[in-house]
Amino acid sequence: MYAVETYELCKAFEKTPIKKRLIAALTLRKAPSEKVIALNKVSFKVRKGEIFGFLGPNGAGKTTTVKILTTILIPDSGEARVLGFDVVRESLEVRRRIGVLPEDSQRGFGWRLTAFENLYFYATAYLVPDPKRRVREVLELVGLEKEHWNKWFQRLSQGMKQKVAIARALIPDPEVVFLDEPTKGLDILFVAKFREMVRDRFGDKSRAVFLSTHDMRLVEETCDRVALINKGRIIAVKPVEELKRLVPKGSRNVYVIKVNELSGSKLEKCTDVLKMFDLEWFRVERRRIEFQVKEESIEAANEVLKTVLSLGVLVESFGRREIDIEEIIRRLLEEEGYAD
Amino acid sequence: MRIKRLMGFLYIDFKEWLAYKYELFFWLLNTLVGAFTYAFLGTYITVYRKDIMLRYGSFLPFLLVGMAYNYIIYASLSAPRMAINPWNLTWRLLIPARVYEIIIGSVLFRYIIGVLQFLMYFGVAIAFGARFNINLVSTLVAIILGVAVMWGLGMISAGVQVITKRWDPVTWFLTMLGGLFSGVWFPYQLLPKSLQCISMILPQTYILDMLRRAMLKAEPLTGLIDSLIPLTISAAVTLSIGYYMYLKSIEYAKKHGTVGEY
Repeated sequence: MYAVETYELCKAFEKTPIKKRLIAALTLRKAPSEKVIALNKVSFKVRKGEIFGFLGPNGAGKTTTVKILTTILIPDSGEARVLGFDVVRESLEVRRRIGVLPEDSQRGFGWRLTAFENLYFYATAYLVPDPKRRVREVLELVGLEKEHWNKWFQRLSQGMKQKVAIARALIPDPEVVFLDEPTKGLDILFVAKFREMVRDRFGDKSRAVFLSTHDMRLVEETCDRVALINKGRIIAVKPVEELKRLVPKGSRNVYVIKVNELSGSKLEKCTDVLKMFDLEWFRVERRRIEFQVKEESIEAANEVLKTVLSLGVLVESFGRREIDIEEIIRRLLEEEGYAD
Repeated sequence: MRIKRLMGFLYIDFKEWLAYKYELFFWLLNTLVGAFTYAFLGTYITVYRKDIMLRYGSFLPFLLVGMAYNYIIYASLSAPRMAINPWNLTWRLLIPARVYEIIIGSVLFRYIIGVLQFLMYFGVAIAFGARFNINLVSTLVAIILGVAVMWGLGMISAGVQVITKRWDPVTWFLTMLGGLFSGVWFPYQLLPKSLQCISMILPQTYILDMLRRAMLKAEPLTGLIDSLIPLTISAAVTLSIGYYMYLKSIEYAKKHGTVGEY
């Protein structure tokens, strides 16, 4: 049995305003229909205990998928199961077994209730045995300092509110946890700890984590596999390492020139010069220049280096690194055409 | 203080007020109906038609029962809508609970407050010398049936609001018309005959009539059959239709992805 499985999931949203549809219905005419396709035959499987990344640009269908899997949205066709339970017909069974951090994670909290009181409500709603103990456990797990437990929710910082929202997702000790943009608003120090928590599957190795995010470092460091979605279609479902192999071997190297601080005019000159080369892509920043050559060759890369040196730029080092997940995804999406 | 700045505030509030056209229209109607209510109250009951009060006893307890029960009626009507507040709805629906548990859980507190207000009115009324002559069984049956009917209607109203998001015609119809036609402030029999037909289709009319006769004249259930039968039928019908509409509206929101929308 899989933690999550979807088969040819389709969802389209009606664009025609309800007013027009009502008028059409009242006048016994056929309502005009204009639909936006959000999901188009989406199929994938997530294993138990797996950390699964769900990636794609804005408007690609990530949140729609998460909403269907968490029983908040009903698909038009296809099938979705969580731990073997159908998300439409057996939604109650699904909800008993999942934890959710939605994108608008601050909703559903009483702003004049404390973090503890808010979580206590959810613990009782989930019929958790010994709710007070469970609230203490999850608040400690997400690292919210004790001095903030009894503060009104509205008086917590954005990062603290996000921690409380993560804690809420963990309250029922779920078998599958859905996290939509979990690192949004978290401070830098906690993000590193959060990555560790995800890798640890929040203290239970059998727990599956479904991660919808733009945070590529989080994906690269935690996910066992990722699915890439664009315009409602799944482009690839692969382990991170295999995803890298989707980019031709010859174009997996990124050349990096570390330079002494580039001033405004030199930065512009470098940008103009690099435009003259037939590069896959390039990026000029104050302290580094990165580029990929089209036909993998050290000679071509050296030509770029020589030209940069000829501009009087002080080069500190010249090296090569492997393309990262963010660049791979951008490349794959460019081939497909972005959603927006 | 800069007048220009104040005008800016005034401008956005006015524009927003105008933007909700339905609300604007019904605000005007509410004002008119409110004015008529007080006109009837002030003119007819106190000056011309004291005889009609004989059906219920004296005017003070009559008025207090109407006003007090209005809180419970309002709580019953608005409670299911409170449960679908867009800020909370997604999270209420994520809880592994059945829809009726979510509704009851979300409205319980409002009922407690409603009952407290009801009792406070009685305390004040007794302090001011009002005398009640209560048949406990009839009173309880009237309250329970009244809550059931209004709750059913409240669920219909909530169902409509899942689609319209703000304007809610059912609550408007019942609360606005209820004040004038159902006998909250004065006996509906005071209205001209042609307007009494509106009273006869409002459930509050039967609820208040039954409750007052139970609380002020201690009438047993057998004497209240004329209100008991229509209320029992209304409760069965509105609760069934209301629950069905509520479920369907949530299904509609889930299909159209508008669960958390305002």
